[in-house]
Amino acid sequence: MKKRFLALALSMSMALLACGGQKAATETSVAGANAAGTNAESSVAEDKATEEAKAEGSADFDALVAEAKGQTVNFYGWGGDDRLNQWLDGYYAEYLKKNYDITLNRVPMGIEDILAQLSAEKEAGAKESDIDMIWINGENFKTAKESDFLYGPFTQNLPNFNNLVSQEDPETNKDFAYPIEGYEAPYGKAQMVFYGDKSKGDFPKNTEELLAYAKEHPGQITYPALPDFTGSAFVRNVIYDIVGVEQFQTVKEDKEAVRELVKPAMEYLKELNPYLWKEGKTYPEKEPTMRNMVADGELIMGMTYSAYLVSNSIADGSFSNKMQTFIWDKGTIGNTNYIAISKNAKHNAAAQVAINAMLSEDVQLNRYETLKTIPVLDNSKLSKEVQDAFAKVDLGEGVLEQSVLLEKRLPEMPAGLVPIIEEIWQEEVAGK
Amino acid sequence: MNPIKYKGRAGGIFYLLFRNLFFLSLVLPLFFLLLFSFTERYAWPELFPTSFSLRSFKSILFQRKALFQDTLFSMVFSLLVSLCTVLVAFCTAKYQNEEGLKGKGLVAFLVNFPIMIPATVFAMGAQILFLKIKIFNPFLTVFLAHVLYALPYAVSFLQEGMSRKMKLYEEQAKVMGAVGGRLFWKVSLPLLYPYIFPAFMMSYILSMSQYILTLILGGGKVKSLSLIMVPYIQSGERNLASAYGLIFLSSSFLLFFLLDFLEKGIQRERG
Repeated sequence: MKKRFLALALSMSMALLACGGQKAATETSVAGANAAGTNAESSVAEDKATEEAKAEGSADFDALVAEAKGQTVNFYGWGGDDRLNQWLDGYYAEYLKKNYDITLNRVPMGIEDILAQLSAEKEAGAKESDIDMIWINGENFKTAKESDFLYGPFTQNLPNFNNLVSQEDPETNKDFAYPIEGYEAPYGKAQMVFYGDKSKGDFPKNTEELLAYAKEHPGQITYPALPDFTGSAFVRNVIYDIVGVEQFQTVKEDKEAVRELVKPAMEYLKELNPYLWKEGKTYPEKEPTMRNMVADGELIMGMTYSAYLVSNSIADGSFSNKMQTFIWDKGTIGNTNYIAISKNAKHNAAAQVAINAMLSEDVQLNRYETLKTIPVLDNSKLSKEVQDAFAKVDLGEGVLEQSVLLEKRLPEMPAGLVPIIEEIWQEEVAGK
Repeated sequence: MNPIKYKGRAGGIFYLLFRNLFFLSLVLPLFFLLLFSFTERYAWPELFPTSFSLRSFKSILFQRKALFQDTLFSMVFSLLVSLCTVLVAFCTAKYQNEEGLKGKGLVAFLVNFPIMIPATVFAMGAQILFLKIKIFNPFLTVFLAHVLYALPYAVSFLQEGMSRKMKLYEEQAKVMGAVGGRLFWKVSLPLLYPYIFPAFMMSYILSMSQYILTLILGGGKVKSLSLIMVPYIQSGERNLASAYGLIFLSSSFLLFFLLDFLEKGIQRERG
């Protein structure tokens, strides 16, 4: 009899615990937030004073800061990078809490799913969206902006964007050659680099040498299958190396015209196929798969959009210290990734303040130190001390200087060309 | 107690071989999961990984919120889902087992429908449905979708249990004067428990491992363990994926032992 009650009580208490526990948790967190609010007030006031001294005419921004106080901002973006996740949940979240009393809630969600959700919300006529900040760029930005998913223009409201970001940089105004018009603010710079095992001979400096290198090490080189982000960038880089850069900024977005233009590059890739991993009959599905194969020694070189992957991975122990970054003589594609705000964002003010904070000297410097992401700030607009601090950052082993990278940086192709080239690759190169 | 009788020497050897192989097939993956959660580099052609680190566990400990709050939330949420699923499944199975009721075929078809269509299609359909009937609370929609998704499995377990001699025993108990709660506690539940156990377990595991459904319907608001784990699996963070996989597994084991403990209590009660 007693046992029966015990069993019943246990299951009941579990259910009760679930409801009660959650409620209690929200109560305490609300109380906590209130307490933090009063504590943070003084520090916010101080910060506001410095902010005002820094940027004239930021009265509008002050209103945003006041409105954002105490809000929780949801930041939606790809969640597969553990270092970045830790940094966002750690330094950046604390920075927002301390300076603006904003709580950061990072939601790990891929961009396709974010766009799907925004589209469903729009279809259902929802007035408010939980999606506040979105990590985005390229074709996805074009899709989102054209589908009227985004709020803007907003970048002109942000003092740090106006004062610290270069307004002449083409990447400030155009994302994959698509006009930004203030609908997204730069978040970090990426550049395609190659990495390989130093002990396997000289690294190839162009497509021709890559072919020779592949012949020398058959079956030990490959690239991720398109439409993988990195694989796609690699193919565009091959096209640039063989065909040239300028004509792609103006070419009509017509499949047959593009096919004619990229023909020599596709011929080259077909020629490369038999010397690739599995004789080019198949490719790793995604960049991470290829990266693990390089780490495990199955491949001798790889490519990535994170310019400082090698030093981070050597520090982790996932790469051996024989790994070295290299680029091609004619350069490699670089792009910027951005943060946008959804049109119906519930916490619009907090999102703007958080994006402004992301563009502050402190945050960009800390990000460069911790993650070694190429900063988006204009070095010449920074104070002397901050410039020195940036210069002092130890980049670690096996990587290239920022100046070397930026000097060899090639622009992205217009967003509309990317899917066209991916289709052509599928038709003409894959498995051929 | 061993259900398989030793039939000669060869039979015995085969039995042992298969039993051990089966055992290994369960334990070896677990061992590798544990190994991989510390592994940084597994260089070819080495037999064992060459470089180890505590990075994944440091990261998980750093993400205390993910570890405690989100994992606990997932477990409690999935427990509630399983509880609800088993209750609904109980009613459905009971209905299916009564004689002389109409529409059984239709009910069986509808209940089993979620198995027949791909999860993504189910998720999209469910999302449009919930938007149309104006249920916007993400917790509620995810909850309902999980229950719908787990229901066919739970129903098939319970129906199996009920269609046996259960009805006869219940009738016998009624003849002997047992009614209502007493009948349920003393006869029905102990008889059905061996089927409730797997139905509950199955619902729990299904609910815990739902990624697409939770992602699309929850819109990122419902943060379950799989929502944190899957991006690491997709991005090839082998050690983090393994470490989260271990947490995932231990939550299932915990529930298993809890249910096992409950079963012992109930069976003793019967005896």
